[in-house]
Amino acid sequence: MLAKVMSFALVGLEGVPVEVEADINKGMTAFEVVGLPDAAVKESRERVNSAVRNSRLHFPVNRVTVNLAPADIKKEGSHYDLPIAVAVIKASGQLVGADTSGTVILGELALDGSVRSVSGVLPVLISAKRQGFTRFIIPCANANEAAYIEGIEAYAVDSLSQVLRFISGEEELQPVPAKSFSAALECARYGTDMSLVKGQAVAKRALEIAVAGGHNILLSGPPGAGKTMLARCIPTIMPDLTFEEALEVTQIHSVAGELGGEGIISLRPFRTPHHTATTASLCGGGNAKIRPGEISKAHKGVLFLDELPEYSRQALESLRQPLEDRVITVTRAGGAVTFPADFMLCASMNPCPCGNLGSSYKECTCTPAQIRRYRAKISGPLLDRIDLQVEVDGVKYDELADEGGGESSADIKKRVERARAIQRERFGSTRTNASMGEGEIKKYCRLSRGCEDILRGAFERLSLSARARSRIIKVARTIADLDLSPEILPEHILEATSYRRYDAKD
Amino acid sequence: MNLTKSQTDTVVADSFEELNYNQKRQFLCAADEKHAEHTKYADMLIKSLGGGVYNKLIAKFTNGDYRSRLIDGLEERGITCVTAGGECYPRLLGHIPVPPLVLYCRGNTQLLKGDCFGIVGSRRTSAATIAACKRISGEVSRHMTVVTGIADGADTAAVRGALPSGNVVCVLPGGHDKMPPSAEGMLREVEDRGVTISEWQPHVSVLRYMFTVRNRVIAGMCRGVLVVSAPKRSGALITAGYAADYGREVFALPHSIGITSGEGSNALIKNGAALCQGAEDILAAFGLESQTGHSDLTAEERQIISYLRENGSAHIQHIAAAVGMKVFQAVTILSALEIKGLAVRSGGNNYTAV
Repeated sequence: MLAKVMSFALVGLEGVPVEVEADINKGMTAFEVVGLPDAAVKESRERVNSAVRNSRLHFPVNRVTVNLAPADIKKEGSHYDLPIAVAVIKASGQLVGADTSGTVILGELALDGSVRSVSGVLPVLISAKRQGFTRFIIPCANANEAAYIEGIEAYAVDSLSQVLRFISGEEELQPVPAKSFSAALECARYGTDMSLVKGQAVAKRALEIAVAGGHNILLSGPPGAGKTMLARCIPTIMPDLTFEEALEVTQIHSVAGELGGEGIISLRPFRTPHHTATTASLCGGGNAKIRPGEISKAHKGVLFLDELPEYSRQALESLRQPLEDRVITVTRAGGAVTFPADFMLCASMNPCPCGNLGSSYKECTCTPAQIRRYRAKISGPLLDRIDLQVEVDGVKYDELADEGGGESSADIKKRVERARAIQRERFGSTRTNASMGEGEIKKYCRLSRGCEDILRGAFERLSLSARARSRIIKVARTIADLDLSPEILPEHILEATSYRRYDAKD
Repeated sequence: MNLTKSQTDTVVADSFEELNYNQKRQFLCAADEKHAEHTKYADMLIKSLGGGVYNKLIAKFTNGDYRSRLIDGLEERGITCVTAGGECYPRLLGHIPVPPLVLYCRGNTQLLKGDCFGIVGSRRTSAATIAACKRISGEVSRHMTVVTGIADGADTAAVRGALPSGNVVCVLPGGHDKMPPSAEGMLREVEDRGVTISEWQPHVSVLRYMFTVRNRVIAGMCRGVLVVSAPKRSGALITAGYAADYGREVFALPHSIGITSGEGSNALIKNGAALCQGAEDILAAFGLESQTGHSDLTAEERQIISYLRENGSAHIQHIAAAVGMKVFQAVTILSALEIKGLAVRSGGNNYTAV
């Protein structure tokens, strides 16, 4: 007898329907799974076998063949356990009259017959819904992922026997109740706040500008100055995620299997890969199953690279293209997958190898050549994509003790949102000032004669390199937006020039 | 390159690597048959070198082929030779105990005729001192030719300051072909507007002792030398030592206590060097007057610069608090001051008046 059950495979973030067919024939007792299964899927035979027996059901003692169609896509992951078990039981005639057509089943089985959580439920739900599927059976532990998608009926189950009772109509289940995203947003809180950072007025202002204009930023300062703490505050002043953005972010984390219990990510991600990170771990990779890298996990959030010069040159250079395109296409022999990678880069570094350059308390022991070599580790093209470079000072103990923190993140966020609104109007999309090309700079950043003079003076006096020019103008545009000024004024240019320290020629 | 016969003779003799400095001078006398005691010098050389070597050198010396190849090779590299006693040879340099026989120059050799002033310092120099050096160099270069080396830090700052006027001489520690690639860019600029000079032939690589030897040229050709920064042991101090030996004026920039890169220059002041606070001090010593016209400042700029002058170096937050502004407004004004060359960022968001 033959039985069919629907399940899904994931290629990147795209779901592909997979038909799980089970057939029972006469012959020697055997249980075969065909259709390009990987090791985890092959092993499911043992889990299915035990789970079926331990659910007090009969596992057929004939020749059982399971086919995962289409046979040309590699099937990975453990979520085929449940559909295979259902198909086998149905094929063995123990589920007479049950209708499983149009129901997508996902889930991993434990040996005792209970259903375990799997990764990638959300992207499957989204692509399946797009392809017309509306009924799903998913593990209880993944129920929250289904709660935020409208127009589907997802049934959360905790054991194989429950699934069978549900399919055969013996037991009624309620679909997972819908939750509203705004409620999730309400109760989500970041662990830090700008008001907790003492002093650092210059750096805070620079962060505000960076977030407002979508610019990347480099924080340079002595060890222990608070670079990491400042960076952790960046998500707190970014505008809230919209529901669509949150879904995109959640999908990526779901595929990576890093989704917590809450079902949707309503806070902007903040990723800090260690500097030993490989290119593949940053950009995404993997041989059979291509997984998203850190830059995709930081989608719509912040990628924080602490001690930038310590990263391998190759890893850093691989960031250049995604920084421009906002997506990354990972190509392997098995195929190509595109992941979104729209992140804000925040990097930190010491000003020199010993870290004390410019410190008022300690003397720097590095030679100019050492400092040059240290800074040369960051290539010009990468530096080109970092619009703001700002110094973070070492804070003295008494300053830590008595200085007030200043503005809270919520206040800064209001100004950022206002500046973003101006940019939305300007570009007619969610693009930001940082993404302006030369043509747009000419169009939106017309400089008065006074501004031109100042800019020219700045280049001569501070010996800035030529490529700093357009970035200064872009940052000046953002400062003007924060100032609600339609024109770029001389003071905006002046402030923007102060955030470009590493462009000086000597 | 227009060289007289005797000038060519000097260049050719200078190219003999078998000879040391004294032997080169003796050789020139020996080879010149009009010289009253040429046979005496020839005998001396034969004694020290051996007759075979001497005869070989004389043959090479008179060989027209060798001579023209040598001169052509130099011309190909764009190098002009200024020989001791020649028209462009720095007047003061001729008076030191061992003046270079030939100066290999690239750039505007006319600069060497004028009054020169040396500015030297350590590679590790604080940002504020670098800015001061640049500023002083710029002002001095309007009246005199600034002479310096090619190292990072103070030397580079002196070059950068003097480049706009073109009155700048870089004295190389080795041959023109063997300069470090990191200095290439700067040297090209100097050669465009000023001149680079070396007492070594273009192919001679830099050895450690050459820096000291070079320093005597800087001290020797200048009317005075300013030591911008120097730790306790420093090449800049060696230059200052030569300058004092040759009877040149020695100036030093004062540094605050505890800055390693200032200990040497403070010690110079202790030992009687003139304390230099600005280009006026230097120019006044040579009877020149500086023209310092301050560009007009806004009220806020004046407020901040006067606060900075009172306090030396100050952190941006203190500046902003003192003048009652928001930090980012103060940043804007300090940027303007920086562009006008009146303030400089000394690292870690501290600013210093220049």
